[in-house]
Amino acid sequence: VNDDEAQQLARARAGDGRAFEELLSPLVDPAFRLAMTMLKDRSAAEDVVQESALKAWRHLDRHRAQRSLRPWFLAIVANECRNVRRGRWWSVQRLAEVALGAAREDRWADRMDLDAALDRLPRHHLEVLSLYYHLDLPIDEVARVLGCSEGAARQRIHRALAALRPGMTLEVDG
Amino acid sequence: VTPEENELRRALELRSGTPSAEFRSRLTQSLGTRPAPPNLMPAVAFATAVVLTLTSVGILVAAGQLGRTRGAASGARVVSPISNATVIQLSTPSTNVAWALADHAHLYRSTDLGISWNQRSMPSDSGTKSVVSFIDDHEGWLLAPGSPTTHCQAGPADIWHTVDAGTTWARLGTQGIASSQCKNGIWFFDSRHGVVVAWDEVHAATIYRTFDGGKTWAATKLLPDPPNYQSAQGGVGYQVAWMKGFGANLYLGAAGTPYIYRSTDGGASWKWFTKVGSPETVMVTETRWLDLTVPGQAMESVNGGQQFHQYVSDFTTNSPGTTQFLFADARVGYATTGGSVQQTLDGGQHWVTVIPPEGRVITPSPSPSVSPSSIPMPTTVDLSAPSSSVVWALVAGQYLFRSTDQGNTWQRRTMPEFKAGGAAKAHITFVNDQDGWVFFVVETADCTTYQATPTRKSIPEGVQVYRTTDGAATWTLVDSAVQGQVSAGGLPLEQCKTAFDFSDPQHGLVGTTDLVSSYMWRTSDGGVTWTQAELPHPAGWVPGNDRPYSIKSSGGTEVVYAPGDVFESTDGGATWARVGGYPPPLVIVSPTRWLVIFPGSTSETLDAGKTWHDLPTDYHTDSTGFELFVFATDKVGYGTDLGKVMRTLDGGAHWELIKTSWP
Repeated sequence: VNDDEAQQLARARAGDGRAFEELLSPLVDPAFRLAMTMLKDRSAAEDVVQESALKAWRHLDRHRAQRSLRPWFLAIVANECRNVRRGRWWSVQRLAEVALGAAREDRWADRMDLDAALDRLPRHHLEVLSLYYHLDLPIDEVARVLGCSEGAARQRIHRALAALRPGMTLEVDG
Repeated sequence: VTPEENELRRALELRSGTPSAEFRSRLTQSLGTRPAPPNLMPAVAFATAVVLTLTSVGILVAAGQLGRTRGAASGARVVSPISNATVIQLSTPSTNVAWALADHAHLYRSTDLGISWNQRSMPSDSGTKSVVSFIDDHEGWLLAPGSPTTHCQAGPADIWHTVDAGTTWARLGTQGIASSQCKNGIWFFDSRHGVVVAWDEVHAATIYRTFDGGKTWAATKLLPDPPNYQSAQGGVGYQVAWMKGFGANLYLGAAGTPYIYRSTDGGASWKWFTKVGSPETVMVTETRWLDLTVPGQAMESVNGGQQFHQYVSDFTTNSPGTTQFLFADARVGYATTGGSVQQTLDGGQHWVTVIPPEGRVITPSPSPSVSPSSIPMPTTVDLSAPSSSVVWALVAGQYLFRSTDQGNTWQRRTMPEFKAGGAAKAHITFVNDQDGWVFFVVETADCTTYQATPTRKSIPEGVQVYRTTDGAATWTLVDSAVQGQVSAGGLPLEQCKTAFDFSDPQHGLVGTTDLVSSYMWRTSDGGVTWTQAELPHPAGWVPGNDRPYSIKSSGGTEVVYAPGDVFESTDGGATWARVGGYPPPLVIVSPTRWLVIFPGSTSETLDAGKTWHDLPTDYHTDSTGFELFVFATDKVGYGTDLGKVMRTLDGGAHWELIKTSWP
């Protein structure tokens, strides 16, 4: 982190709400985009980002001072998305989605509908693709959000691509 | 950048969106005051207890339980179950969003199909019998009627508006609305267009329209009498019970009558449209109408109420009074009878109780007597594989099966019944073909709503533990967390229970979380008494991590996977240490052997995550998730796939589909 961010972090840890807001402001957009990609529901995404912001604010003392806030905060968002997806509501929804997905399998096969393929993609794959290709995070930050090594993060991106579309090969930097 | 990469970025962007300015504003407001960190909770609980001591000894007992909860001192949102309401008015602006006004005084919002409800603020003066109408999860209007004169000859009212989900309310006044007649209904169709209705006992109802979000109102013509109906003083003296809009077409039902009116000009003029069989007939869509009044004799129309035919629905109610039906879309609908609310997710065929929210039944309460010929697929399967030959399956949350030959053949066994009322999710764990446990747990969205508040009494029990020693022929209740009775060593009412495992007939573990910390509860007497240990927060810990997901007992070592960390205990669960981690999905086969199973490629570690290598596998699934893997031994394992069961006999390399339907 640069000096400015470090000072803001220090102030935020001391309870300065304005400093925390300034730190959080540029992170709201990627957080919301990640949540939307994961949940495909605006209300749920807003709730997740708000809940994540509160948790980050509450537990800011747990964040390592010398590290950027972005991957830490996005990791909270990703966790919240997983928690939502583990919820009962999502269980109901998932069954409905699966039935829908099965019905349009032929369409996907014929037209290579990428969006439909993303719908059918397991969410841990969707998460890593969103972090890397959508939010354009560098591989080290993807790894920190996922809580794994950079090598493991690259491996997960490759697996997600393979699951998304057999034969799809994209370069993974780093 | 390759074309494929561009295509992927574009597809991801299409799924995404940007936060609205209004959301950013709300977010800033919610961060206005730093939420109390968890370590302030004991102090908060103490203060709460002191205050409560002055008021009620009975409540003090509950306050003591608050002290036990290291739960989140809630920031902006507190889930507040609706309980003991005598009347509930709903507004359902979209599939996921529902607003409930309980007893005209307490406002709640759900954005998850009615599973959890957050209490929202009301205006400073909400009148005598207020009603609400919302157009989304944030913007809505509240009609606050004052005390009327005799026969509703005159009735004052006020109208309030919120754009931030009730955090703040603006008084709009009632410019253009006459003081005569009682105002009893408000409906908005978008941020500008809305309707207020008024009535008295001797005149026709008056309909007021607004085109500017409620700032000004104009009355339309009085409702005409239906054919062959002549009221004494110029109109039908009944109220408007409901109104529903489909573009410029508006429909309304006259309370207590079978008459339905339609406006094709946005409410400017109204004509008698049709007469239906029951005043409770509901418009699911403009063409599909349902009449579910008489159990077993439901009727459906698919041509806008012109003809009705028989329809199969399990809707029934034991609550006295009229039922008001309301559909959010073609599938999601609600039925309100007094203080209870039922919900359908399939257009009216099946209904479950959502208010009180603990009554929600995702998987219907188990009933041993039910013996289905086949269980609809896809469904859910929970597995417990205690040995190389024995595996148990809980299908659809209520049907229990046992196999003693590695899943080749299955026998139906009985399930205990959750007897605390309401809904609970069942989890199973077995240690052989005879000894096992069923945990019924009541779930809430934030795992902390069991706190000692007045609403807590609506949760009858947080957990019930049943045990069998005869292969699930009979069951005995061995522990339960009951409201108002804090057992010395029992599982707590608080905390979400998320992982369950017994290593032998006496020793077991239950993983819990309050979404701030996670805990492992252990028993050494078969589930009668339990002791808590907290999982440590590892370096780099992120809030929301570490909800216990799976437990594996092997050779005196207990391993818990709480995504994305793995914790280990070698003293029976008294103390825990982090031994490694990996993001989900991670399958713990043994304390040192873990798998990350993906279709077509599986990774394996034999040294607790220190080194990884590929494990060639033919595992394949078409599903989008929900896979559950359990390993009985290093070689024998099972996986679920939306109700289907797969098996591996070589540690995860080769998989075969062994069960595609139940029974």
